[in-house]
Amino acid sequence: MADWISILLLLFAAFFFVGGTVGLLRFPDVYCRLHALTKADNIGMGFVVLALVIQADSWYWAVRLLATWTFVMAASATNAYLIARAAIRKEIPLWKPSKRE
Amino acid sequence: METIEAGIIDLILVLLLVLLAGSSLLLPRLFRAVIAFIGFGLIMAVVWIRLHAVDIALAEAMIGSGVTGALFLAALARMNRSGNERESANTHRTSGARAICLNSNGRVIGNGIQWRGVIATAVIILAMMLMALMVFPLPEPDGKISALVFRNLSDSGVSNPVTAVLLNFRAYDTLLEIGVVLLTLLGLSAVVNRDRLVGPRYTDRVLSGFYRLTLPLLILFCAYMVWVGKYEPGGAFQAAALLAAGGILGHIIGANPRPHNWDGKHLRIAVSSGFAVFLSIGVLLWVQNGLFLRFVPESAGGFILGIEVVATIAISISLVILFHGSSGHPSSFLGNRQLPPAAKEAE
Amino acid sequence: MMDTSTLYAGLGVLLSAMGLLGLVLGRHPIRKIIALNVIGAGIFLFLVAAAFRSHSGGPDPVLHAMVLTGIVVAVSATALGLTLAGQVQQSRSENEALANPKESKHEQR
Repeated sequence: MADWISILLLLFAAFFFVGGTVGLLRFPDVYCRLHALTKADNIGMGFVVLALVIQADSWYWAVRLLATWTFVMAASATNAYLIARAAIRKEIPLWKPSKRE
Repeated sequence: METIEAGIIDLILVLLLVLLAGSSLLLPRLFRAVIAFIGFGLIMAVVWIRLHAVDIALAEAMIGSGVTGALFLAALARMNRSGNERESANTHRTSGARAICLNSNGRVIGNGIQWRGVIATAVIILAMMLMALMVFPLPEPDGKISALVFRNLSDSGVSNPVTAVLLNFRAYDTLLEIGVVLLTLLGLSAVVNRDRLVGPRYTDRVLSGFYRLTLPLLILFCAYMVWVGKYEPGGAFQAAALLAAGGILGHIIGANPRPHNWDGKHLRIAVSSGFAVFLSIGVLLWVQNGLFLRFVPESAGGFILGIEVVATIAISISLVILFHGSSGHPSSFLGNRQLPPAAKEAE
Repeated sequence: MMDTSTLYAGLGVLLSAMGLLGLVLGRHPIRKIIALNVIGAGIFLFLVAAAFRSHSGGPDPVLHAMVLTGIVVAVSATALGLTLAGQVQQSRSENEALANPKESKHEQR
């Protein structure tokens, strides 16, 4: 039973990771891509960690896994901020939707 | 393969590695090539875990991908700062292949067939195929050396076989490895022309907040990694990489993470202490037990821990200084001397 | 089909060959240093794949220790190589700026 829940959670995680990657490939702008990638990847990682927490042997390992997720979120949030700041410094323009006639 | 699933994962990993390595070598823009290389290092870490090499996976993810990636990015940033992103037109074209010349500019140079490139490619491919034919199929391992290691593991003072090999059975190799890192630092300080070092600092509230959050945790994890290396995958080099990551982040934001009254002299002492302590313990064991670096089961654990602690600090400081020197920031490791006036006039 | 160890050993040889080709054919110094690291990664992969086949109690730890040493030495060599490359390029650009002050400014933008 626990295995099936883990598999379901991992499938959710895969969906979010694929969504983030599609956003990386298809979005028109650095800022949009950063937004999609960071959010989707963090949530995907959260699902992976939840799936592993269910499989964990003890509370010690569950807390360790959750701590890993927290650190990755902090690091990727800082990363996204730094990339966005560098993009603004380079004056990369924000994408504006063009009017179709 | 053991199972179909393992086979599928293996094939995916192999494909990913070939794609990432090819990208890092062939992508025209250097920044993209470096990012591909960082990804290559991370997938390599997954492959190490697949091959049951967890210590190596830790080291590869942190040192092979993290520190090396940081070094490359810093070198690229320095290159862009001095306005050299495009190859100058005077660069001697020494090689190329067919009509596709690898150029960091992104332009495909249709120079026609460059015969030196074609010949080099053919020779290398031929040589590699010959070597592969001679090596494959891999012979059956006789397992004598690894059986020797596992038999004597309980006498080595640690229970992680890789740590036992690194710091007990083949401690001489590790001593020389620490010596090589020290030599690299010497080479760095000999080569770097401090007059030419320029570099901005990137101070920022978010980054310094992140630094203040993670540095204490990194120090804690470093200590844990050194201690746990005796029983589980871990050890001195992985711990040194953790501390070096904190140090590199600190230097990027200009935080200068060291005691205030330390200067170049103290740094030099800290960096050479790893090699010095390892060497002295080797001599001490020589005096005690009759051979250089000969450990005995009773005292091996303590000596190994001592060597690991000092080596961790020395190697982490070395890695941070290596990052410093190659990124173009001024470094007081190299001392506070000015260049002698004769050298300046000769330029 | 081949077993895991042979597959990864073959991949190691392939990566070393790709890295060697990249080293010879690439022109920018940083690309050459990337190629050197790829060669190293290929060789380490070969060693660890060979260690995977060991029959006694686990993968061969001697080869693992060698690869660990190799990773640390590779990062030191990369750092020194990047420093050298940076210094060479900086002195080259300075020489250009000294030799033809107007032309070089025109070239860089």
